[in-house]
Amino acid sequence: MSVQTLSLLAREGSIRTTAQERTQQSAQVRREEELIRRAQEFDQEALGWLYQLFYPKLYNYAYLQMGDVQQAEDLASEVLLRVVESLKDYRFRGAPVSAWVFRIARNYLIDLHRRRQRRPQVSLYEGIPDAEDSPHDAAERAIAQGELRLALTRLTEEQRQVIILKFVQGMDNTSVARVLGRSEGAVKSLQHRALVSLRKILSSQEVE
Amino acid sequence: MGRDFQTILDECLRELETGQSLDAVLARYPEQADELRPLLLTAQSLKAVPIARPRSHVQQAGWQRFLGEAIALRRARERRPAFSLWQPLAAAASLVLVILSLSGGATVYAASRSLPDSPLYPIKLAAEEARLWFVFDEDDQAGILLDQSETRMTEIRKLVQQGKPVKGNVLSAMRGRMTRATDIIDKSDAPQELVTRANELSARQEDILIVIGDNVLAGDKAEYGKVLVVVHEVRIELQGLSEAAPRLDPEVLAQGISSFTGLVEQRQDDAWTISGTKILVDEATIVEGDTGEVVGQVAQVTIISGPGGPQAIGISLRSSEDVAKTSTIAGVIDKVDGNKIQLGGRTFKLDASTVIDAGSLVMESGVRARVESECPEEMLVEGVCQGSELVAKRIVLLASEGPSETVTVEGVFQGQDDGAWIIAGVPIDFAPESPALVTPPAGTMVKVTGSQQGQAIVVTTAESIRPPEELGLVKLEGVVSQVDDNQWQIGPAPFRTTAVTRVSGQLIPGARAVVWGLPREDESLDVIQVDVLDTRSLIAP
Repeated sequence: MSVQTLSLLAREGSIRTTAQERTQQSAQVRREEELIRRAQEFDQEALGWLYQLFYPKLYNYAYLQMGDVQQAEDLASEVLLRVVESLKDYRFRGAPVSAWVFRIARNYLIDLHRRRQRRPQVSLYEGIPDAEDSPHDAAERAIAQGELRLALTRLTEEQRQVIILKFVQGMDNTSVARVLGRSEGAVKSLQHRALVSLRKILSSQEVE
Repeated sequence: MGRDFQTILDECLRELETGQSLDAVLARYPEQADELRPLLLTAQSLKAVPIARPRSHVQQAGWQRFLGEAIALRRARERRPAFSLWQPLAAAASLVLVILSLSGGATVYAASRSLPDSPLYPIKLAAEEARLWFVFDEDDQAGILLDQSETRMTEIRKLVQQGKPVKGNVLSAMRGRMTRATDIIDKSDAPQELVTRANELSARQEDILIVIGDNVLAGDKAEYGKVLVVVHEVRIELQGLSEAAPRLDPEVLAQGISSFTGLVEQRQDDAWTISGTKILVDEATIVEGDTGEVVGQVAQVTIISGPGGPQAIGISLRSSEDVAKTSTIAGVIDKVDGNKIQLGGRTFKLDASTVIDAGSLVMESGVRARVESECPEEMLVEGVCQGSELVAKRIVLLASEGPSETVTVEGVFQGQDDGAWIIAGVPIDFAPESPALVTPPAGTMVKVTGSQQGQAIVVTTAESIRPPEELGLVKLEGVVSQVDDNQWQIGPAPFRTTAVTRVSGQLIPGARAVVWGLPREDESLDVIQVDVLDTRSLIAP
């Protein structure tokens, strides 16, 4: 497979899903299967694809939840090391590779959270101001990164995952379900509740 | 409502993803619309949240760890002989080491100077790929890919200058890099300078690709068509001309393109009338120049054969004043020195935008060539070029024989200065033994032929090609092919010689020619003058 194809995959995977990409999804999944097979053989191009595609996505995923540049970078690096270590055990079952990678990321984040809870002086959301600290400039503006992070802190962990994975990372319900270990029906339900909660939080921020 | 509403919400989200408007989606669910609207608006606003981007140096450092871990895992597996993965792992390890050490290696140094016909060329491309591996900032990546795409263009020019065919591998590599660069530019908030650069590069690539069609072997024509489509579509996309532009067919582009120049007489949405000829335009037509009032401007049109007639893929508009700044000097190349050539007592500087149409000839001293050039703007003083160097816009190497001292100068006559004719800003001195010439009216297109004597010309003929008032003429340039006795074609454009046609040189199939004519109702041309540039066919019999 050519490097050109690798680049195409990186592009398709890193932007949010569009209608056109959805129609290409099955072809993309087949290309991913081939690339993962090559990555398992330590093929340099395939490893490069994996890294280039997922580092920025994992960074963004972590930054939205941790609000700290350095911690987000650490998470992206650590998760990718786990990915390369786990490659030998990975079996391709038709789902996008991102579902597997983000499942590792979520588990890592949960582990990190637990470790830090045992040391209560360090918050998982260290560095993120409380909602009450929010300035009034949220009203009538598009949601910016900081505002979203702020709002996400007030969702449940699963709701937060659905919002980030589906609306920021552009995953479909099937992939989100695999990351969370839930059914697709449960994801729809979480999605509904997450949007309702987010709407309320953002509205209250506008009023404040 | 509970579960049903969740399903409806999910359906609405999917429909929004397909590009439907919020109102259109809500119209299908009138009973739930009030409840759906705020949720869908929230979902839409999430899409607008800017993506946090990692610091490139940290990402790069992470890559070293990642790669190191991969190498360690592979070696660990290699130490277990029970597994037969040894060979690919060892090969991959070698590859990593080779690539990591290549940048300073002699092989890569030699490969870095190789051309597409060299066995080292694949190493050059591989080393370029390796360089990208250590660049994680997307804008930097796009910049490097543009550099590499420009390198492909330089390689093509070198092949053409050396009289070698342009191979599919370099066309394919140019296409790949340009595609990847624009993929990145499309999806990121790329700096404007990067967008501008990609746009300018693709325009120059298109110019060069159009003239090298005859240098591409038949087996590589398909790739040639594809790369032309890519650079053209990149221009459309980056200029934001139209997302609905119809796709060009690579096969049609591979078959032939011609250049057509005339005066714009009428502009309609789907067609322009240029010197009496209807040229079809659509969203895939790139129009450059002053697009405000186009009627009355001179248009150089790149045309392909469309189902409804000649179809423009590019139109370059220039005012009559700008056209008058271009002079054409034909003669034998005295010297090639880096990016400069000497011909007809003048020095021409080549730059990245210089188009070289070489046929199968080598750009070297002793070869006849026709150079279209302009005086650098800063050297023009009151319409007269004060510099000793002109900038070559287009060089056509001619399959032509004749005395080496014969020189031809074409351009718009502007007036006289101390006995010299000023043609397109360039002073042309006549040797004392030249016959007395009738001074033409300013604005006349003239063609002066003679023998070179230092900086001066001993004139043998001086012709008026086009009087200033005769603006309805069309100019075609390219390789001619014969349809029947009097019917000819340049690319997809037909023309016809008549009893009054003046032919300079011998009109033979496969030669390049400049053709001046008047359009007929059937959209062919009645030709007034043909200047045959080559005395031999460029196409092997």
